[in-house]
Amino acid sequence: MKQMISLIAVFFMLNTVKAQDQQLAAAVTKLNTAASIADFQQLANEFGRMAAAEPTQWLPAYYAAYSNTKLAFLQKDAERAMQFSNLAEEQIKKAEAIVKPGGNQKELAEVYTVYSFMNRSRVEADPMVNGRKYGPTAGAHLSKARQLDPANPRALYLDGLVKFKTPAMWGGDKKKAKELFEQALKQFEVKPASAVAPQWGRADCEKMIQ
Amino acid sequence: MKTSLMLCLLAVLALNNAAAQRIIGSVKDKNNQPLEGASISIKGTAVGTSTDSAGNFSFEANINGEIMLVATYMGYKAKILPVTKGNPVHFILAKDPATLDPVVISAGSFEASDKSKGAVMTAMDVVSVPGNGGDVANAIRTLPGAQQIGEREGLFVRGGSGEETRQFVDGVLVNRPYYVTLPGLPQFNRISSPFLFNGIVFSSGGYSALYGQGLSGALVMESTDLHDKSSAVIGLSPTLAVTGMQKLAKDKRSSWGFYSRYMNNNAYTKLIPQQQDFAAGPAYFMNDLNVRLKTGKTGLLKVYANFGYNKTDFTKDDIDSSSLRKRFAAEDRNLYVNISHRSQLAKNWQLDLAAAYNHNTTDIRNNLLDASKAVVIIPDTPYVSKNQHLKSGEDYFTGRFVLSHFFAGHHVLKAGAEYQFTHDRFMDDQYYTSFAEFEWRLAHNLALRTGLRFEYDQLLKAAELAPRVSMAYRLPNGASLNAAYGIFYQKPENRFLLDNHNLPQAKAAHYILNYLQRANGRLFRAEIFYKHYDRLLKTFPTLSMNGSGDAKGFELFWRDKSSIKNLDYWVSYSYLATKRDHLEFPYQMEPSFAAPHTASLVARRFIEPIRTSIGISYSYAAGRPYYDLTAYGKIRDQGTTKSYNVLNLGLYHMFTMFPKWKEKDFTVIAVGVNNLLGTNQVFGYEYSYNGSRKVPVTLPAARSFFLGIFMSLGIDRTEDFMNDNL
Repeated sequence: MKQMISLIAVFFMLNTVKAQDQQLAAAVTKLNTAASIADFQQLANEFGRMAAAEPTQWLPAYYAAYSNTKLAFLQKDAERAMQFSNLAEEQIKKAEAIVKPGGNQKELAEVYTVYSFMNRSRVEADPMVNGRKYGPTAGAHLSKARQLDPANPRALYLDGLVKFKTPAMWGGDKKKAKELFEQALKQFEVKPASAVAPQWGRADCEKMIQ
Repeated sequence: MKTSLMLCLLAVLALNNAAAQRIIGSVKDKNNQPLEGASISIKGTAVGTSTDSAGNFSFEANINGEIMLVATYMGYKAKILPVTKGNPVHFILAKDPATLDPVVISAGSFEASDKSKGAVMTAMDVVSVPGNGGDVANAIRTLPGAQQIGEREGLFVRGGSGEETRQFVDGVLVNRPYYVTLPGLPQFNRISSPFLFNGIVFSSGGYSALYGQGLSGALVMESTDLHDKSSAVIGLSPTLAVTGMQKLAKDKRSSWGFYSRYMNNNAYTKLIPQQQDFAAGPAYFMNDLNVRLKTGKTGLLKVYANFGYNKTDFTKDDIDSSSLRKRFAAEDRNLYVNISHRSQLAKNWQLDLAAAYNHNTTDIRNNLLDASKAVVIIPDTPYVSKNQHLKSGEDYFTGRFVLSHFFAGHHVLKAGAEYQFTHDRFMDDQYYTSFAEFEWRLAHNLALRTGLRFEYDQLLKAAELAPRVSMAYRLPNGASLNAAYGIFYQKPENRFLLDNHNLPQAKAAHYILNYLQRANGRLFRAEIFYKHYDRLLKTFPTLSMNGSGDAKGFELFWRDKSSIKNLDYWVSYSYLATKRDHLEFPYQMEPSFAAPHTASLVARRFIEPIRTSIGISYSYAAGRPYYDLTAYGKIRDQGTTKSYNVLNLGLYHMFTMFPKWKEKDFTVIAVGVNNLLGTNQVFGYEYSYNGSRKVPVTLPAARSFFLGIFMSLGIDRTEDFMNDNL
């Protein structure tokens, strides 16, 4: 009897986990086509709720950080943008704390890519005040990500994006950027490990190459 | 058994498949405005939704029992409310002050800093204002409150003379910030490397009790801490040679560096004719040395030494005779050493120590020359005083400490004391001051700073008490309202004390009201002020402190970095109404260094394809009053000059000369033209002794030019240029 009950309990627990996975997968799919502030805000909220409910999972926190970073980039007001960046930092730090002890290099590369992206959003919000402060950190996290997983398409894309946006005389290189985008696109062809594995960036990358 | 199993299963199923219920409601702010995109969740679960553009939400949840709903929205405090079946849940969220930056007290001050949130500009901005020659004080002249004075050095602030604005480095007074004054030629500031300073605050009034002896304003400079990396710079121009380096120790606990400039404009003055005929110079040899050393866990020792030499020798037509020439020759040697130490004594306790020593000698020769350049001696007035040799020397020492305590709730108490000693051939003087200042964070949107400064001068035998108050209040729209009040004292210059020691300090009161709004890369600032001079130095009818005056006006400032891509510009306007009775003035009248209207426009645009930054600065000042005033307070002639209009242009082309080098160089070719349009500027008039002749005081040449090439190795100026230009 006891066995029976625990079996049932396990069944339902699995069921909930599956439901959570389904919720995450649905949100991740939505993220692939999100474009407006409203889209990203809804997703940031949803990932945020999942992250709060599942504090041992890195993916919800990771996605919440990414969504809030996108929101930071989309803000017109620098101070508001910084608030989103700050929230994103909190979340990506959580993801880092979960992933780091496991030592999974690929997952860690994903985390550092978003970490770098988050700091880029701060630089963009107010270059005069933040450029020197967060620019180097953003660079360091990106090179860490590239080192941990040279084939990560998102790190390749971000690397290209930075090279594309920076004027040539300051280390920018449009040709190199294009190469990176092409490499990234090739890597985007590799199917994500699961429906919930990081997969954002492909559409943005395709846009850059046109 | 079976029934119990069934029951159990049912129970679990019931839990899992609880009757779905619809939860509806809204999220609004305190003004009943809907908050779109707020997150709603059932506490402890991932179940929830987001609000729509009307602030409404609606979702289904399969949960029984008591439900607690959490609403969160960026910048607002989260709120939890219970759901009662069938009733909508209405959230009213309050702003969360913790997500906003604390309000910064800013009445009367402009900050140029690379790190502070309150900063209006960066150190780089200061350097790149066209026409300033890398001089901090000149760049500051494009800010409201400062006058456009082209014939003299110094910052003339809100009706105050150039001497009324003092300069401070790492807390202590820079006794002689400029090379010796030359008649009709503005002098250079001795501080020749603005890159050594990462925080510059220009205060046009109402400044903190930590500083004193500036009746009108203060220029407070804070030197950089440890340099980030080793670097070197060389620069060449037809008139200038520059070399400098910074070396960071391997353990990153110390750095040292130097910066040397040799400048000789003599050849230039031969190439481009000047009003004056230069026999030597103007020549400058400027040397900076800096050392930074980490001490213990939290301490940092900084040494800044500056040695400067200036030689100028020129002749021009003598105003009292048509056939004679007047020679003016000056040599100036100055050593300034500033040592400061900052440390964390304990948690929330900081101690700042600083000391400075200044040694200055000047040698000035005046001669009357004939056509063959031989000295002519005429024993009659006014010629008798035209052959002179004046040698002077001065030593100055100051020591100071400031102890800061940081309280919970971000209140800060600063208290300290300072001692100054001046010595020259004729007299010694000792000046003591102690001060305390408390910064209160009364609320997240309200800050108050109250300070008191005590000053005692041994020579004057007079003690003074200077209260200072300033506050900042953040309005609901994010803008801030600032106010400041303060009493300020300044000792008479030594040359006056020689005749009379029993003069009290000059005294002024400042009242300032300021509105500041900053958003989206734009900044708007409006300020009104009233300044009352209770005591000013008079030289006629007797040497006294019976002078008086006041100044009032308003100022506007607008900076916009974001409206037009790659264009950064600022506009400032100052209105000033001032009258004073000082020196030999017969009564209160407008001083000759105050124009009623002053405006400046500085704009910079970076053109990426040609890697060139173009900068212009345009300044306007309404005509200034001028007087032919005798030493006995008699006005023989007076008038108003024509208005002043100057357009300066600067071009900076940036490139890498040796891209193959391991350490890529960063090279800038700079081209500058001051007074591009060649406008004839009249700053005032010089009168002959008998008043029969008047000659306009104007620029030495219609235009001035600059061409130079500067190469940096290993330094990250790139980020500076990038951040400032993009």
